[in-house]
Amino acid sequence: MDRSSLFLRFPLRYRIEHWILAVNFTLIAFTGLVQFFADATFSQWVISLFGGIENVRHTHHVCAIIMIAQTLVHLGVTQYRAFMTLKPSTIAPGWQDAVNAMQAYAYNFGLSKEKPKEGRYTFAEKAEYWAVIWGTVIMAVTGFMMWNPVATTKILPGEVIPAAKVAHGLEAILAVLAIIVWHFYFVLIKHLNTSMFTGYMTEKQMMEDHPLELADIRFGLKQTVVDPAGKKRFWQFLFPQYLFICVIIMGWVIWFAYFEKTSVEEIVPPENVTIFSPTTEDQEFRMHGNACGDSVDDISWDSCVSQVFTVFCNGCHGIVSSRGNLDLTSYDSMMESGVVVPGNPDASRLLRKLTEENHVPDFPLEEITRLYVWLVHGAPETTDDEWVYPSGEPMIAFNEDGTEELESDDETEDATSLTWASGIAEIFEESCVSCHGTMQLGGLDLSTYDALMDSGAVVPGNASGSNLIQKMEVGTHQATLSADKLETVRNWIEAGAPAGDIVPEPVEEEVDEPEELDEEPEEIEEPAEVEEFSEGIPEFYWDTDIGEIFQDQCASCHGAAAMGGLDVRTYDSLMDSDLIVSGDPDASPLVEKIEVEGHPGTLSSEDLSMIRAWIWNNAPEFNPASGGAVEEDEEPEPAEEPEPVEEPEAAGYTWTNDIFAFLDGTCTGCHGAGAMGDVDLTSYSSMMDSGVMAPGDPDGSRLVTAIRDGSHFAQLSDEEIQMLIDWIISGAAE
Amino acid sequence: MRKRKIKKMGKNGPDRLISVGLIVAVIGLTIILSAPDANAQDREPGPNPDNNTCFMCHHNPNLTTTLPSGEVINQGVDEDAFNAGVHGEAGLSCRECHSNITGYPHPEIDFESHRTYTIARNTTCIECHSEVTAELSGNVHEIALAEGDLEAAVCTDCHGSHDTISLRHERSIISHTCQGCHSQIFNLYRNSVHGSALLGEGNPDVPGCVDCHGAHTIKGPSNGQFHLFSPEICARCHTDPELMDPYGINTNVMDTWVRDFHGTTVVLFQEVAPDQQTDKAVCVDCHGVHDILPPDDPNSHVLKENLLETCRKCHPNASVNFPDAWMSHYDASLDSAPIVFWVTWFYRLRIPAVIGGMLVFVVSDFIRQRIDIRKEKNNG
Repeated sequence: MDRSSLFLRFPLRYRIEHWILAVNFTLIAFTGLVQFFADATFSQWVISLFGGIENVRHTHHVCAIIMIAQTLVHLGVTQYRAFMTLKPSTIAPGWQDAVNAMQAYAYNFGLSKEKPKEGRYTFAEKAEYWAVIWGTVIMAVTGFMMWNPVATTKILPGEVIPAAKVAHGLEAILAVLAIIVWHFYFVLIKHLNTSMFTGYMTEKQMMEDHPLELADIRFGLKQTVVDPAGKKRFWQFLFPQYLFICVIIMGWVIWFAYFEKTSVEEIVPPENVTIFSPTTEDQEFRMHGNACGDSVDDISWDSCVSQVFTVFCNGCHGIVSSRGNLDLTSYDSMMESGVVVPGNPDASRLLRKLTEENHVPDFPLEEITRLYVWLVHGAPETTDDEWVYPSGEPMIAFNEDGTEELESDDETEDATSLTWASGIAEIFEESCVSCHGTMQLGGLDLSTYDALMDSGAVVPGNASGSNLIQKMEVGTHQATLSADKLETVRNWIEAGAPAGDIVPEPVEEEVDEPEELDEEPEEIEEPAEVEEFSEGIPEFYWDTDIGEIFQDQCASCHGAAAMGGLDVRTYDSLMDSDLIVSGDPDASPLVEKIEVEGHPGTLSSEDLSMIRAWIWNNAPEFNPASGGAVEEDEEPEPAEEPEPVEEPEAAGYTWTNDIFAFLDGTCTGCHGAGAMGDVDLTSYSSMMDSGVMAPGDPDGSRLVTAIRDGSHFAQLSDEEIQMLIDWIISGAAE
Repeated sequence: MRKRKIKKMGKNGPDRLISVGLIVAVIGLTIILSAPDANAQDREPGPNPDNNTCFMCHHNPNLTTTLPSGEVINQGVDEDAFNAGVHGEAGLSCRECHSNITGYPHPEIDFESHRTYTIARNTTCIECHSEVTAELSGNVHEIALAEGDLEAAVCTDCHGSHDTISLRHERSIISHTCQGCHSQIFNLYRNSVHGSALLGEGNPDVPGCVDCHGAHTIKGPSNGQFHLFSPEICARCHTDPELMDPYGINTNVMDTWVRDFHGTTVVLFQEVAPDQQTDKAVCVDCHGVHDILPPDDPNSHVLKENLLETCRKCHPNASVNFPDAWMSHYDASLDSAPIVFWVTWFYRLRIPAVIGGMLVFVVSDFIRQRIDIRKEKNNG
């Protein structure tokens, strides 16, 4: 085709503009549509190709800015052309375009003989041009809203954001479809229109699509007529304004795009909470006892009571929820609520609620006990707080008011007449044993004279050197004694802490216990029971009281089954067992077994006390009141039997001196009270009775063979076995 | 695009509302609990002393021993609790676990502390319960323990030692077990819509700790993956009409979220970059994690009045209008979001009208052109 039949349709400037737009549009459409169809596999493939959604968005945004810039440039150029030339715009839509469109439709459907005759831009091209303009505006505005929702909603209602999202996405669909259906049809299918590449169009195509323009060219009407006045106006006035507007708009867009913060950049944790926040302090407490330490001194709100509330109470009675208008998170809020009456646990609703009513959660008994102790001592906030005494008792303050307290002293004791039995026990009973009794707080048991002396808390003759007194006088001890009582105790210790041979109750004779303890050099010891039964030792009898206990509590094992060779069903069989040392409960293996060694079955403390008293009274069989023949006031015989005291007799080993020393502990765990396999190795006689021993014949003695064959659970060392064998060979002397 | 998502949810999530985690836990437990029976029966009686021998001393609740460090540990064992536990019921002897005890006197315990002793003893569990090993890989407690955190939970911390009980019969026990170390979280949970229903009413429909976190398979919730995929955990129940309808809860929550900005991005992260953290909001970021409340509760993070504050966690400059940009898990309707509603309808009509008009012209034009060309040829 020769050059003369080609007509310039698109100068280079047009083509550059078109192709920038084409590439940009493609990119922006792709990066937008994959977001619109985000869960399509293809989209996800494209997104991973881009290296993630963040890159896709970034690309989309950059393209958007380019498109806005291009639109502004285009706007400037068209303005320039409009001012510079005197001819009307060729792209402006007019009525004729609508007529042409109708005629084109009519022609296609055979309703019109002729195609419309169109000029430089056909109605189809104009429609497309204005669609791009419309689309760009819609996309820019809605895109901006989505990109800057925070800025947008400062002016507009929040709902425009999702509306913008809908419009942006659907407008994009429309634009892409329009390009494919409309543009591609005209430029690729109807004719392959290469003018956007080459810039030129053939005469034939011009004739067909743009006959009016061709005519204009032929008539020489296409020359651009420049209006110098318009040109001047443009450069003088319009261009500076235009440039100003462009700078403002682009600056605005870029500022919003890159400097306005829509959201925080760091990852916001969904919840601020300490992940590891164990309740172990209280688990420790549950497992190992008092988390406040062994001493009542240390129980205060700060030191540990608050922990109890944190774990058990603050879920409901806390800050988030304060059920029953009760906030137990702080000492003050608790006190304000009025559920606590310091010094009076029984009047404290707190404790009533926990013990009497159906309160959830179920409080562990230890916790209740602790709260009780804490309340009794005035519900102190810190361990430094001054203790108050339970209501009814005088308020005690130690050093400051000491003199005053002394003045109120009305029962000063004659120091010389003070004994454990005649008053001291009473003081301890009243003020101390609730903690230092069976609870043995701090390992201290003040319920009996023996236990007190064993504890070493008292140095007879030296009150100030006695731990007991020091503890009380320092003032940190939780419970206090009134000054007069403390003075009484002091005097008693100064006087040598006598046990007191006179018991003010009619049991004196019994108390005349001749037994001497040698570890405490100073005083005549008194049976522990004196304290417990300071009113006199109650009398119990096998037939009316004690036999029943044994029958109920013990005979299931130590009855017909005779576990450990022990049968407690009858008085005689029990007494034969050597477990009872008549008159001396503490020396009686039975008591020791149950109280100290951890016997599998246990007796209630009442039962045990009865048995103790009964033994102390020489374990009488018959109740005289019920017709039995038993003397009431007999002197108890201290029994020596249970501990073997025989002298070693042979040159070889003896049971007492050598053998029992290592059997005890290693063997008696099983072959003691439990008498596993009916073997009881706790005493020589029980060992012989068990039939494990053939004196002189180690190989015939199960004691040796059982251990040597290797299947026995516990083992003895070789030396010990050799010793055992030697001892048996030499006749197994006791 | 949503269809695919819905289908996926249908397959995994909503069927049985009792979450997969729970089922897995129960099945796991069934296996665990049945295993020792078999093992115990297979074992020969051997020279072990029977349990009575041990209890002869160890029944004493005050039996203690002192470690070289001076720490006193309690050695008492509650015999009744042991016998009531799964191991007691299965007739296991003490020595099945305490295999280091070969005689009396017992070997010295030369561990630094009670805790190190406990951790060392826990290797015993896996000898019978070996099937748990696989589940434990990636377990956050295991990892912490391996990193030297002695507080990290081992078997007995959750299951108990001597009093091991079946966790099947009382789901709330599980939550209380976790409370032992995570009391702060528990306190949040206990007042939440889920926690109060489970702990207060014994409601079986709500999740306890392991339903969301898993039991042996528990991963650290602080890692990005857990956050990223957490909506699927919520969706397991919240897209199931069978479970939600009785409470009148919207089951469209997942789809509406996925359609919105946050959800779209999160789904893309899940698919394209599952290892990366995303800062886009998932369920828990708005509703709360352990303290989730019903959306009409005055303290709910997503109550209209509280929503702005919630949005500001991530969008600190958000204005009062901003929260309305979120359509509360509902599709736009004339009442709830009229602008969105009309815009949507505008395009629903406009797209077919424009593209349809174009297609009519294009197709007719194409045909007409062919006819013209043929005529021209015939004429020419």
